[in-house]
Amino acid sequence: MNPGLTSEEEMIARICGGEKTLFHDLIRPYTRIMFGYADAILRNSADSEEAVQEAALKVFLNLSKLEDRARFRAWLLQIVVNEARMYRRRLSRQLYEPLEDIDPESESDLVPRQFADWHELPDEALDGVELRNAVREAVAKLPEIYREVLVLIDNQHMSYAVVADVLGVSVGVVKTRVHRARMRLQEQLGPVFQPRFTDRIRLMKGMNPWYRAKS
Amino acid sequence: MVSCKKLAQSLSAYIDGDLDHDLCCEIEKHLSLCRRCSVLLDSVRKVLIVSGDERTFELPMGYEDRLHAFLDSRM
Repeated sequence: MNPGLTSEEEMIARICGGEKTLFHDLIRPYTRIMFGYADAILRNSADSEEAVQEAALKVFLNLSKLEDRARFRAWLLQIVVNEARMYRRRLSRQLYEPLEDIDPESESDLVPRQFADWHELPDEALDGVELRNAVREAVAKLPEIYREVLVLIDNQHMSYAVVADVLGVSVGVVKTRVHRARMRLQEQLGPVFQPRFTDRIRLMKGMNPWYRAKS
Repeated sequence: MVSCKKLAQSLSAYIDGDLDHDLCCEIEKHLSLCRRCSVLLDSVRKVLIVSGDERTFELPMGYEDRLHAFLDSRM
C-alpha cells in the first residue's frame, strides 16, 4: 500500500484494478448528498432515485477516466446533476423552468423585502415536523439555482470550495448565490409562517403557567 | 455605523464568520441597537438550523438498498 494515497484514492485505484464490489463502499458516504442534489433539481423522490441510480452507474463505468482522483466528490456530483437534468429533459416536464441567473449589478434578493419572524420561536420548536415541512416546501418553490446551493451548503454542509468546483464557478459566486438563496427562503417563509398568537399558545403548551402568564 | 441595507447584504457572510474584524464589530454594534436587524439575524439562523437538519430532506425508505441492488445488477 502506498502511504501517500488517501483511502478514497486507494479505493478508486483498486476498483479500477478489478475489485468492483469496493464501489459500494466508495459511494456509501455520498448516497445522501447524491439524492439531495438530484431532488433539488427534480423535486420528485421517485425521479430523483432513478436519476441517482443512473448517475451511480455512470460513475462506476467512467471511474478509470477520472484523472484527478482527489476531485472524486465534485466529479461525482457533476455526474449526478447532469443526469438529473437529462432525466428532466427526457420527461419533458418542468422543461420551461426558468434558469434564473444572477445579475451581479442587481441588488434584488440581497435584502429580503419581508421575512419570516422566527425570533420568538423557542429552540425546541425548531425540532418540530411542522417547521421542517414549511422549510422543505419553501425551498422547493425557489429557482433551481438557489435550491442547489441551499441543499449542498446549508443542508449537506459542503464547503464553498467544493461546491464552486461542482458548479464550475468561483467561490465568490457561490457565496453570493447562497446569500440570495437564504434571503429568498426567508421571504418565501414570511407569509406562510408568521408566528400568530395561537401558535404561541400551542408552542407554550406544557410550559410553566406562571411563565405563560407573564409572556 | 453600517446601514440596515448593508447589514442585510452582509448577513450570510456574518453568519458564516467570513467578514473582517472591523466590519464584524460594526455589524454587532448595529445589531445591539436595531431590533429589526437582530430579529432578521435570529430568524435566518433558526431557518438555517431547520434547513441543516437531515430530517428536513429525508431519504425515501429503502433508497440505499435499492441503489446498491441496482448497481449489483448492472456492474
